[in-house]
Parts: sequence; C-alpha cells; structure tokens
Amino acid sequence: MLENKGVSFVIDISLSMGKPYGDLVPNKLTAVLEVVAFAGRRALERGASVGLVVFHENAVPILPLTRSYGDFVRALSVVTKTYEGSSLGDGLVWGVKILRQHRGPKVLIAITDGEITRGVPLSLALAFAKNSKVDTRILLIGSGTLQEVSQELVRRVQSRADLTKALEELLS
Amino acid sequence: MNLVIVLVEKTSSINKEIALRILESLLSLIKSSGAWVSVIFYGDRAVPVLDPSDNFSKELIELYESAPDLGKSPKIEEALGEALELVIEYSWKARAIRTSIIWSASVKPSRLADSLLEALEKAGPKVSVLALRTSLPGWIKHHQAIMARTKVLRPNANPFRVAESLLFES
Repeated sequence: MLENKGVSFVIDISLSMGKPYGDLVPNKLTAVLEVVAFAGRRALERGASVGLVVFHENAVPILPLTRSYGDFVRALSVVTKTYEGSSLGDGLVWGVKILRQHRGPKVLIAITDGEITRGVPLSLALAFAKNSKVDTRILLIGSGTLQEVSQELVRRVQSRADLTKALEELLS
Repeated sequence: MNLVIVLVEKTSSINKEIALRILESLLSLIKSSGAWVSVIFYGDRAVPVLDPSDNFSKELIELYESAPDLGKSPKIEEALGEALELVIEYSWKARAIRTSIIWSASVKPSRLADSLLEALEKAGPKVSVLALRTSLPGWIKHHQAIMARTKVLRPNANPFRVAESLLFES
C-alpha cells in the first residue's frame, strides 16, 4: 500500500538527457517526464504524496511533497531544458530533504543516465538517505555507469516499457 | 528535545585522526546526556549526514573515516548555512542548544561566515568552534564573531576534555 508514503522523484536534467535512447524519444528527458507523470498520478491515486527535484551541476527542488496531481504536472511542465553538469549526489541530498517532515514511509526514486561529473560524493548522499530512513532506488538509463553505489540500489532501464515497469513495481 | 549540531571538517587540510577522536568523544557525550544530534560534514561543500536523531551509532565514525574528502578548502560558511537550514526546519520539534564546529582554520572564510554565525545564534544554538591548531591565524582578527567563539587545540590535549569544553562551557 502506498497510503501515507512520501515519494521524492529526483530527475537528471544534464545535457546527455537531451539525447534519444532506444524508444525514449524525442529525448530521454521528455520520455522520463511522461512516464513519471503517469507513475505520479497512480501513486497519488493510491494515497501517496509526491515531490520533485531536478539536478544538473546543482540540484533544484521544484516541488515539495503534495497530494495534488495538478501541482505535480505543473512542476513537471517547467522542466523543459537540459544543462551542463550532472550531480546525482546533490539531487539525492535534496530528494531526502524534501521528505524531512513527512511522517510516513519515505521513498526516493532517482532517474539518471549516469555520467556523474561533480557534486556531493554519492557515498555520503546515500548515507544521509539511509540515516533518514529513506528507501532509495536509482533507475539508470542505458549503459552508463555509477561508481560508489551498491548495485542493489540500481536498476537498469533500456526502454520506456522498462521504466514504466520499474516505477510501477517501486510504487506498488 | 535538546539538539546538538556537530559540523566536522572533512578535507585534506585537517588532521583527521584528531578530528575523529574529538567527534567520537562528542557523540559519546551527547548520547549520555540524552540530547539528539545532527551531523554535517563540510569542505568545499557541506553535506548533512545525519538529521536530528537520538539513535546514532559507531557507523557515523566509520562514515567519517571512509568518506572521500570534500575538497581541500573548508568553507565554514557552507557548513553554517546548512546548520541554519536545519535549525529552521526543525525549530518546531527541537530546541537547538549548541552547534559544535571542528575546523582546521586553514583557509580564510568569506565575509558571509560571521553573519551566518550570528544568524545561527539568533535562531537558537550557541556556537563553539574548535580550531585544530595551536594558535589562530592572523586573518582571524577580520572575523570577530568567529574569533570570539574559537578555541585552539593545546598540544597533548585530551580529546574527551576538549569535547566536554565544546559542549558545556559557555
């Protein structure tokens, strides 16, 4: 059950996300946003709250936890461009921060194509998530790599169907 | 609930063996006092590693030992900013009573540091700074707020006594 679960979506908006991959077209970012909008709606229908963080060379919290699908979609709609740099560690830290005041179970789902270039070391960001009792999962698009991360936390996705299925399972 | 915020430098400029012993002593004292603790590592960046909790373990010490350095230069203003964010976020729940900072004092802070330190104290917690050196650098006189709250580390000082003075001396 997702009732009272806080779900923090952390999405990579680095330049490489502006390129297509398989059926993730016209580019990875647009496809990810479409799938996340659908997954967010399902999560909200099941009683969860959702929030949104994006990251490139910095992380930007876009939406604190909400139960409003309208707010969630509006937040996703402002994410239109990709930028230099990729700092997943910063994204994870902010993803945990927006869950700070949530009383129920906490889940963080990061979606990235890897190629981390800078920012907070992943080992520290993941320790912060663990100490904050945030169940953290990283969906890694394509063949990119992630150093310092336990493979238990990483799930590789190669297609739109993979991504949809992974989110469905994580949010079931 | 009483809260102690510990800011510990994690750069290539700090003596990590001493920093670790003092961090260990601080955590042990905080635990026995029944207070909650929050821990932030800092260098070029500040990273929260533990939000306010009364359930902390030796894993924090191991994390400090194993974590990569956060660059070479300790930006104490970054750490103070992170602590201020924490105090604001948890003000409804915790009474922040103390912020203890372990610092190499190897790099001159920005001018913002004094303002942030004063803002932090206005928000609640008293700030104590321990510089891991035997005398303060000359530039500290340009940072009166920091200077007034900074102790230096005497040679052969007992880490437990140092931690006690950071936590309990006014």
